[in-house]
Amino acid sequence: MQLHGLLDALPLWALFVATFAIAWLSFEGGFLIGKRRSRKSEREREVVGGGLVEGMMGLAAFMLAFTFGAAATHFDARRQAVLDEAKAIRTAYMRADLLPEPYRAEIRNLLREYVDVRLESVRSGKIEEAIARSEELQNRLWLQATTSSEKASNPAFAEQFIQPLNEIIALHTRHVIVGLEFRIPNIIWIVLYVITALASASIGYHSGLTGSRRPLVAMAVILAFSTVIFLIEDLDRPKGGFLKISNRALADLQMKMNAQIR
Amino acid sequence: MRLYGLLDSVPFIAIFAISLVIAWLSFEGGFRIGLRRSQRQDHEQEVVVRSEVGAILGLVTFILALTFWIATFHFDSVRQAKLNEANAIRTAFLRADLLPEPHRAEIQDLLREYVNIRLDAARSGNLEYAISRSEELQRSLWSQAVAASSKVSSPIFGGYFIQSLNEVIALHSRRLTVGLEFRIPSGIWIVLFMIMSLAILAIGCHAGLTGARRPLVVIAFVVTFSMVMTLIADLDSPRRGALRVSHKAMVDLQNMMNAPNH
Repeated sequence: MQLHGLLDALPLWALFVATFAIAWLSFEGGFLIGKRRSRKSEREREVVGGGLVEGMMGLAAFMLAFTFGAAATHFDARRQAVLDEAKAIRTAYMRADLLPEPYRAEIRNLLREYVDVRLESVRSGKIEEAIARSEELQNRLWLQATTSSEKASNPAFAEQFIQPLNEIIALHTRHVIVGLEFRIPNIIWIVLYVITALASASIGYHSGLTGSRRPLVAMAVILAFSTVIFLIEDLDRPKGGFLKISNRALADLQMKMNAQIR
Repeated sequence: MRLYGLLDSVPFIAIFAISLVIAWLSFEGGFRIGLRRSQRQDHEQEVVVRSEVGAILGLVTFILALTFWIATFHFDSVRQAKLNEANAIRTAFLRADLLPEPHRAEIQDLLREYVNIRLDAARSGNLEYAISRSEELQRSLWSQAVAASSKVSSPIFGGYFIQSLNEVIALHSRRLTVGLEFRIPSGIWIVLFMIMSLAILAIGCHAGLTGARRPLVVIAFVVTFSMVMTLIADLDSPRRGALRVSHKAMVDLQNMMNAPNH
């Protein structure tokens, strides 16, 4: 997990510059080697043109595309987690009506605080604290629910509340795990970088061999690769970057809850 | 023909080395064949071979990349199955609170052991014992649930506990299927190695036909393909290698169960 810490600590633009620099240096290195080889061997350039470089570029492009797909899936899972959570909290909040006082009021206060904690953590970025506080609130909610179920006039009503509460607790775990653990693994990052560097080096090698240096085209290829890696990194980050998870569902819920008190 | 059984006993560095050797030998073989033919063939032949090399490379790239995608998908399914199982156990554990004593304490102890066994098995790797012990525990849980539901104040609570227990049992077998059976079949591994070596043989043959020296880019090419192969093998075995599924959800659950208020 150290690599994730390192990657997350760097700002995104610095990662982009680093990726671009790695690819560009590989290209230049390949170019120098190719140029030196071209004096000795004339026919090699036909071989290199005959599929080797294309094959490598193709594989690198595919690997990037599929990793992009995986990162986008994880991003969607995080977004879904927020939506599902808001839905479960809303249901529990409404069903608290079925419980007798004083549990009803107490549970509603706890749920209100639960939503506040979540939205507050997004603003302040103190995730660990918010997780601990949420779990404490869950314990208190559960205690309220079980005691109220003994006193409820009809246990079926209590069960109606317990069900969404179980869901809230399960969705919290999902949210935490999806946010912190469903990332692109380190080893895939390493392989992606090595493949990109090797592919850029072979483009450089090829143009060194043929002696035709087209920096503009090479620049375009390298820029495209670095941009895609940048996008994958952005999608993969749980917080921040240009692609943020919207908390609109939770904010709406907060507004509705607060409107009801007044 | 359980090739993945075979691959499971080989360290990943060896898989990398084996792919490298196979790829290199294929290239050398193809190169020698091409060199021998190059005296008798005219230049036209070379153009035809070049387009054939392009076609076979495209095919290999596609198949390799799609296998990578499948392996990523399996890895994610294992992750998902683990998370779902942890959540189901947590729900059942909480719902036991609604059952009368002594069943409540008994069931919660059984569930605690259920989680401990899973984490022990993940550390020690002794799956056989963990599976048989889990199934034993499931039977005890089931008889406790049936006994408790006849004594429960409201049959609703017994019914809902049984529902969550059913889920725990179902997710156990799902996790076994996903973890042990969702693997890349041996046939695909054989085909992967075969078409990779055929493609590299074709490249070598083409290089030999042109009568050039061995192109340097082949090194980068062979390393890239072997790296992707190793990555697929690593993704495909979620319990070992650099890519492992984290146990965070289970560990969190264990902490929750052992917390003083439970």
